[in-house]
Amino acid sequence: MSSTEFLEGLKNEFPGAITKIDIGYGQKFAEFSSNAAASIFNVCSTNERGRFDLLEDLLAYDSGDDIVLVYNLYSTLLNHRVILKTSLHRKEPSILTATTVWLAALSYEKEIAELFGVRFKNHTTEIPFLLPKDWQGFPMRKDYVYPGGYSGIAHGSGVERRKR
Amino acid sequence: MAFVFSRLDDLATWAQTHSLSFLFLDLSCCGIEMMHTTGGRYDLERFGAVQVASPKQADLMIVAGSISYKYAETLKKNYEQMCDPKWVMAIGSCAGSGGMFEGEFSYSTVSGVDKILPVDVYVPGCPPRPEAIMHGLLTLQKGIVKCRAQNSWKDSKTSSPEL
Ligand code: SF4
Repeated sequence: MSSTEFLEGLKNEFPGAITKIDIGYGQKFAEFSSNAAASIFNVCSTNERGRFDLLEDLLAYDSGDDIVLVYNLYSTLLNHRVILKTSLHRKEPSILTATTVWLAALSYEKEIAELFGVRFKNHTTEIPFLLPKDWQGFPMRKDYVYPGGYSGIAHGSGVERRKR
Repeated sequence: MAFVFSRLDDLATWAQTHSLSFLFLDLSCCGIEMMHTTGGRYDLERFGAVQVASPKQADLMIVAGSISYKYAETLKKNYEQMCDPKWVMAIGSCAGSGGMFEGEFSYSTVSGVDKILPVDVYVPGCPPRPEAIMHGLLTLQKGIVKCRAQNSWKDSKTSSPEL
């Protein structure tokens, strides 16, 4: 059973939620709207033709307009993979947590929450993960302005670098 | 009598320079090179430098690698726990000046350990070879002899005469 068929089936099941199916670079992509996250995660992990039991990676990037989340799913049972993408609004990006389906999402989500400012609903832990507790802003966003310093230490060596 | 005391002082200096116990802060890739230096092939211990686990027993702090803002506080605390006289060695470009993470290239990296602590010896390189690190240690030993000759080692925090 190939993942293409699974994606076609998924599109028929959720006609509104799956906005795009794409094949390229030897991978299968599907874009979904973040409102339907809960049912799509469930179907991906339980569907007979999908059986995606492993979240290989969860990453995020800033496309300039939106924050995009990328879920790399792999099925160890059927040996196929699929990549799910979703775009979130820059202002208050939020999505349901994937930890209820794949526990592997736990630390990925913590990291993305901290570096991109995405709020994961129903995520169990809210503690700071990588950054100090009082850090301002979300460093991996494109519009992030570097701080002048932190706790009394000035940022940068003060030496002008040659511009490239 | 003065002669005897000056000889005793020389002996003490010799003992001090050849029994440096260092606290090794392995912060990133340069740490691997430093481990290699303390290992069997290069063997830093033949210069008398031995690694200790606690800052309270150390008189030399070796900072190898890039320092994040989050770690800077811990670094300072470690330094404060060390007894005087104490010295600091910065291994690698990152510890020296921020290296390739300096300024606009990283939001989270301190541009050099000298922003936080007084540094006595810088060893440049990305990463420096073990030979360079050993040369750094020998330079520090020479510097300690000089400092003791000027009797200025007591306030190593405020004055660090040129080595
Ligand atoms: S100077 Fe180079 S090798 Fe050393 S910590 Fe920095 S990047 Fe790594």
